[in-house]
Amino acid sequence: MKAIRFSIESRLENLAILGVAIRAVCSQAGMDETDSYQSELAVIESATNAIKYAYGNKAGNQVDVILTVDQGKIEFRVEDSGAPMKSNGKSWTDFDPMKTGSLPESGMGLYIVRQTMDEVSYCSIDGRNVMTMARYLKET
Amino acid sequence: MRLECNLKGDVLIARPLDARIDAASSIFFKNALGEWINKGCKRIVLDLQNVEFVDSSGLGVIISTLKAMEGKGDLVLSGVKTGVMSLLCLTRMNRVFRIYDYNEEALGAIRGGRE
Repeated sequence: MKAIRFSIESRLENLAILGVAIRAVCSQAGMDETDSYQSELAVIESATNAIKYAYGNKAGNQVDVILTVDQGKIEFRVEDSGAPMKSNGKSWTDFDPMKTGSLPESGMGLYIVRQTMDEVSYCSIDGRNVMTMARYLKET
Repeated sequence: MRLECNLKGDVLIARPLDARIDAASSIFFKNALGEWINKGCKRIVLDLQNVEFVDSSGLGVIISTLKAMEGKGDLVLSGVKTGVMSLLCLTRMNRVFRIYDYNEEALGAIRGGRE
């Protein structure tokens, strides 16, 4: 098992360096370009939610991302100590691609996480919120 | 975030010069494209050849730009890289936007109207 932790201050401008680091680890672990992109995307969506909603866009807080490569998969844990996530219950895919006015402009983050990851769970215990995601590595 | 804008006739070719359109840069991107629409621009080719990463915030801005034209204009994409294309497919936006490999194709298509 190999594990690495990245920690950023809760500023949106810190997402870029986090994303580059996530993609590099995924690529090193054997993921192809698309899988690496989608893994970075899921982590960035989760970290963005932590900054924007858990911490209300306030700097000075910490977002931790722990990657574990083990037994044919990479697990990504995104942790914050802000407000727990609430589901709005909306289905993001309820739109007609032919009707421009019906297209959604936001609320896609969690949908993307679920679409790109093989395992997703979320828990909030003792003030610590943890989004755990995993993507299986393809056999070569 | 840097955005290079060139007019070819009445078509705006907007090319982000940075590799990421994410939550940190999406507001700038939205405002920059919004200014062109407010000036009357109704046809936009968004050239993504330099863009390696778009998240849901960036995609939301692209969608909102299309919506801001209120059905009286068009926005097409060109130079979309593999990863970004996977986001468009995941979100079914590949069915909303016309996507071309090169600006010349995109220009020809947008001048010809929506297929």
